[in-house]
Amino acid sequence: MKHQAARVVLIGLSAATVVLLAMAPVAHALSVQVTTVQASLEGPSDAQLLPFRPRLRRLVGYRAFRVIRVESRPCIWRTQEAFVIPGGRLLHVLPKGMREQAVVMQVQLLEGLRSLVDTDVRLQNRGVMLFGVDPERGPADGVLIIMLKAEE
Amino acid sequence: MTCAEAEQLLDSFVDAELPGSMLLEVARHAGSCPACDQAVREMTTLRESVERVVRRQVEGVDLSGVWPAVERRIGRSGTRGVWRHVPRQLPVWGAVAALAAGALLWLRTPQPETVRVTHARPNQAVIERLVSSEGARVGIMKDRKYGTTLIMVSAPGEDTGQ
Amino acid sequence: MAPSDWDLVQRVRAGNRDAFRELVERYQARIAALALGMLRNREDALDVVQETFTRAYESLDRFKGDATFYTWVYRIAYNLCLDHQRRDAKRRSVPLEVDDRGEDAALPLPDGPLQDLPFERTRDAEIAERLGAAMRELTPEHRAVILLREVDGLSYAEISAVLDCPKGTVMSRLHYARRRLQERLRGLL
Repeated sequence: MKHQAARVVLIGLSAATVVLLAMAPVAHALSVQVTTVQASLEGPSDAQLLPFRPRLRRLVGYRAFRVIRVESRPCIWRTQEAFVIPGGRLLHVLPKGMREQAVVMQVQLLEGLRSLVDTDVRLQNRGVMLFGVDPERGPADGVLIIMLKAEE
Repeated sequence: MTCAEAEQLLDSFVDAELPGSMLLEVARHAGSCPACDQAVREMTTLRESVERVVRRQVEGVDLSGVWPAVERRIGRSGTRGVWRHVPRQLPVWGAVAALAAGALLWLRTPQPETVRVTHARPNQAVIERLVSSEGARVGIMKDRKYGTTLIMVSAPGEDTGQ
Repeated sequence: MAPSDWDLVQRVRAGNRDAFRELVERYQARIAALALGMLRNREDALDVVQETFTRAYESLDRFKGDATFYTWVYRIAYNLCLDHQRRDAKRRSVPLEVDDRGEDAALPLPDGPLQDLPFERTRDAEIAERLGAAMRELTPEHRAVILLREVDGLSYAEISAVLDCPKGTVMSRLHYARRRLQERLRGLL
């Protein structure tokens, strides 16, 4: 009886090892980068944002852009990751899979426990999309821009 | 046939759901009545538009993954075919192995599929669903030159849900 | 000659999974059209298509053949769409309208082939947008009747079997839904 129990445990452990080994190559399925940028009416801009300046200016209407936080992390398909956004906000990213060379993911922007926006997007692999959070006290405060990049 | 009588039958006429004799009667009336003829044309155009719009949307959906996904699911549910003949009392190691296989299958499910891409620009994003919280204003902007999408959220002065 | 649906159903019942694959591939685009029209979201529509065929397979023993296979599958899909919408009812959806800030390239939402003429493209896009908005305003029952009739070309009797309602109800829903859509598209058609 004891032998049988030990055999079951041994086989179970072996199976678990096989699963873990098989999981290893798929664990880091894609890389997600979240960059938070403060846009202001005037002031200097960070050099790393120079390639983005024209479209940022056209989209949000501000002139100066400073990076205030960058977080890059490997993600696993169908596993939600939370990225901290300055100002008490969180960006939840749930990558679902690849379709037509684009990353399909659910993205949720939270303020405390409140979900400001919850969206399903299909973003071109290695592409960047933006979320903007409007100023609370008027345009002089600038606007927070969240740049989301996903790379498979 | 009067216009009022024809009007009652126009949907069935356009859908070819009328018996032959009535179909002919409505056709004769519509042939000599510009108003009813126009109504028939509008219904036909509406049908064509709905069909074209929906079909175009479906063309953009990749259905190649439907059968593999269904096959995996029916394989797991195991309520038909050969699965019905599997003995109920599987040994423990069998259950462990099945669990391991299931876990592997599930983890490997969303592996990328290579499909042809048309008109893809480096930052192209397609917003497929968008839900905002009560009180929040949301706008979608798109830079056509670079293909970059911006979702602008404005949520003035609410509590943070704590 | 291609086997009939009923032949394929019998083969599936005998344990032939490839026969079920043939049924899936035969009807997946039509089910996708219904789900996409009902839910207006590709991911949700794909989920519904997969779930529809999974459920059809699991309950194939209950399919007696007194309806056609595709009306039976449509019915499963329609009920799943309704369940999906009920689950989402509490959430407020934002229409997917885009404010373009640039000068070239195509609209992001339609993935289908583009028309050659700019005028046609603009007009088609406007019809698609107005139609989408008008469809959203319809109740799920009215939306379903329009999709089943105008896109799938089902007869009144078949629609009544899918929606589980009398033929007269199908006719009145269709009449009402068409009038509403025509009002919303006035000037464009």
